[in-house]
Amino acid sequence: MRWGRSRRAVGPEHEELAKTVRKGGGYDLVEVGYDHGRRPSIASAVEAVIRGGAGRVVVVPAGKLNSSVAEVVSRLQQRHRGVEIVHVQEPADTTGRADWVIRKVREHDPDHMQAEAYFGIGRLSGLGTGETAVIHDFDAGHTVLSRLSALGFTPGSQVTMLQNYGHGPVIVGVRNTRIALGRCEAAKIRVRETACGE
Amino acid sequence: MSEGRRIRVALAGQPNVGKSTVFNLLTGLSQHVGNWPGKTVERKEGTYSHNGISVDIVDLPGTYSLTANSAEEVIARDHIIKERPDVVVAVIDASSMERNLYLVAELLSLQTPVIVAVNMMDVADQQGLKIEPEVLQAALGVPVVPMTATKNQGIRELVEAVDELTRDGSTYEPKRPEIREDHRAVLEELEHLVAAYVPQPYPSDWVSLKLLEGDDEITAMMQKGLPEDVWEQVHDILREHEDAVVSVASGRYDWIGRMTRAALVRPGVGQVTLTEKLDRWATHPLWGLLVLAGILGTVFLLTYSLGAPLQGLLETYLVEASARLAASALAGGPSWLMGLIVDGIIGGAGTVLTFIPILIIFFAVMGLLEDVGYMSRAGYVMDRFMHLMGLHGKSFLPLFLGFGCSVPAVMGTRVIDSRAGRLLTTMLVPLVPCTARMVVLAFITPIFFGAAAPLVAWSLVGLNLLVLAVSGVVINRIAFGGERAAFIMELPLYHKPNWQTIGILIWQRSLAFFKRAGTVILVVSVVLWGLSALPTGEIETSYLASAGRLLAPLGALMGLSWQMMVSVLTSFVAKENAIASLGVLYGAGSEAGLAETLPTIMSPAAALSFLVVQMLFIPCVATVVSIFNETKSWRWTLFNLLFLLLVSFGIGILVYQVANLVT
Repeated sequence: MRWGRSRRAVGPEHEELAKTVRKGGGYDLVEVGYDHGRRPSIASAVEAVIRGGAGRVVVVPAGKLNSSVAEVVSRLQQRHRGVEIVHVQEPADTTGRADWVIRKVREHDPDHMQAEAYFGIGRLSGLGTGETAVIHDFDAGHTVLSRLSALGFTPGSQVTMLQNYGHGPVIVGVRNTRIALGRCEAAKIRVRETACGE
Repeated sequence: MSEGRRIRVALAGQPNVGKSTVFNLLTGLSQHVGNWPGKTVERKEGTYSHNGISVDIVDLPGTYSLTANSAEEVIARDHIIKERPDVVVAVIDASSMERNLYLVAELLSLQTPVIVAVNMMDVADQQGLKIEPEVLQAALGVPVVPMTATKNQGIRELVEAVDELTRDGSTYEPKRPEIREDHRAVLEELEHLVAAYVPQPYPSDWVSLKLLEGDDEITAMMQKGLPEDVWEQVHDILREHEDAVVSVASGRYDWIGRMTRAALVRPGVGQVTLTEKLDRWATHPLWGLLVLAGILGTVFLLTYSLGAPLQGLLETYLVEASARLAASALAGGPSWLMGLIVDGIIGGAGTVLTFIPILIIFFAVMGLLEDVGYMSRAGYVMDRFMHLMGLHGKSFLPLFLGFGCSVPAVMGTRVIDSRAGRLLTTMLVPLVPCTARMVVLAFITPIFFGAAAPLVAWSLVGLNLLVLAVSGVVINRIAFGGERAAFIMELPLYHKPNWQTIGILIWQRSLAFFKRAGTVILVVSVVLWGLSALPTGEIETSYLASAGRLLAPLGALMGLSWQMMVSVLTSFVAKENAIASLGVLYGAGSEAGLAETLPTIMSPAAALSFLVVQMLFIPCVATVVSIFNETKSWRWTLFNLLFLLLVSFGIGILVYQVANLVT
């Protein structure tokens, strides 16, 4: 798995989705946000799209969402009066997702201005040798979490993949030390590409 | 003014920071090794005396943190909380300061004063790292002593700092880490709820923090100690903030960042260290295996070119010579006394002692590989294969040592981090054919199989390994729920071996073996000799022989006569005894005589089953004692014995019946 070249990179299933939305819909600014307190939030994703120069932002769900999204969108709209923020309030169609996303955007963006899709979160086990990423969160049980935290794997900290042959355990660099992780353990750590200045 | 004060110090630190070098420098040979009460973890303590100051030092197990994820961490924190040393000296590695300070952050949340010893300053210097101990001291608020223990630098200053701190603690003002803003209110709430119920001597703020972190031991302790309704509230809070541990850890690292910001200056990126260069080979999926094979080959070479001859020398000049001496000295006395001393004591325990050269070589190799930092790379490279058996990569080396002798192999299981992993590996060690078992193999196969002997021998070794793999999977599934400890292992920087540390390790382990030989093994040899001599003085009519005859029906299923069953039983003292016993029981005067007699009393199929039983049988008493010593559990030791009895006889019977059908 390789990381994309865009400022915000994309993780496996989301990479596919974003790519399809970009290509199929012809949109450049495609960003991902999460609800329910996870980062990056929907607000930050919308603001990224706005900073990119969007005049209209369409927020489309591509997975199950919490009802708080409507609140977030209305607050964002209040803050950014010069931009039109459209919230597609239909439940996500999980079968032909990309198509559905594109269709919804087109419905709400007939002039073909901007769209909203996903911000990439990937697994540490998918990082290539030599690449660096920032820890996002974990998908692990308590004991593993505790051990990883003590060793320096904390959200926001940088990790560098020192050796990854695609199978077998990997070696990562974190806080100036070398740690070997089993493949499963590395997959429990979610990372995102480092953005400028991070 | 020297009034002979005694200061009690606990030495703490993460693994690979050179803590044992510091400990050895301070305590030298005054140190004494035991076990933490009720645990299987090694406990080392010693004393340093100088200028009227006496410092009693306890070396705490190396741990990355103080959370109850392992016995070592509980031991370390319990010692500080319950035994209340005067000072905790936290040793950190200057080149991984950021990560090492995590333990210091945890130590500071306890009440005992801490001194930070920044070790390996020379390594940091080599890497171009600039460290300012005074700045760190000002930032932390605790004494900071720079050291390079391997060059004996900083020890004196460390002791002075300890002395000063215990005399006058008024300037001690540590800047403790705080939990991140997002969980501060929750922590306060917890503190408020539990404060009245925290048992002495635990500090209540520390307990609340540990509860929030989800520490198993503290949670269990408070669940018992809190009244029902309070526990309900606490439990609800904890459930709602299940991943608070991440926040607590992040808070500590935030604190570390602030502390190191001024005190630590990193060089520019792009310096490829020696470690990285070496690891390109050592951890490569292919080359890594070859490097490991090379190292293991060297160990084998050393064992056979150095160890075996030395063993032979000991055999001739120590064992046989003293046997002759004793025989002539006691010639006039009662024959049972001569038998007891020559056969029981010298023959039994003496033979075991001849293994010392091989043991020393193995302890030296293991000590060297661990000290240099290679051990974790070996574990990394073998993890893929060990994984299949439910074992950890680090289990490979102890199992491998089993080819030489099971005793250091069992002792070697200490390098494995989890207790389950250690237990499982220990159970499997006896299935690795040791040199003694191979001696029996090498003697018998040519007699019965002629040119095919090497093929048969290798197949039997292969059978052992197959049984080992299957047993590993089965025992793991049944006893440990098929789970495997998470593979998270630090690869420390390689560094020059410290011969003093290795020397002390070899000395301690060999001494431990000597003591065991002197006691349990001696007793067992004498008892076995007794069984073979009583009541008539002739082995054919002894108790041992009766035992053998009792087992004859079982033996018949394997084509083995009662004499062979007896010989299998005598291998309990030392595996090679099997041959000697056969010689005695069949009246063959020498080994050559035995080689001629055997084919007349055993069929090849029976010989095969005899060998299978020998290879899979319970280990020698020295190993059994080591197993008990390492596991500290009668249950596991007995399980091992029963398991191997079942496996050896079961497969022996199977092999004989099948071989009979075929021939």
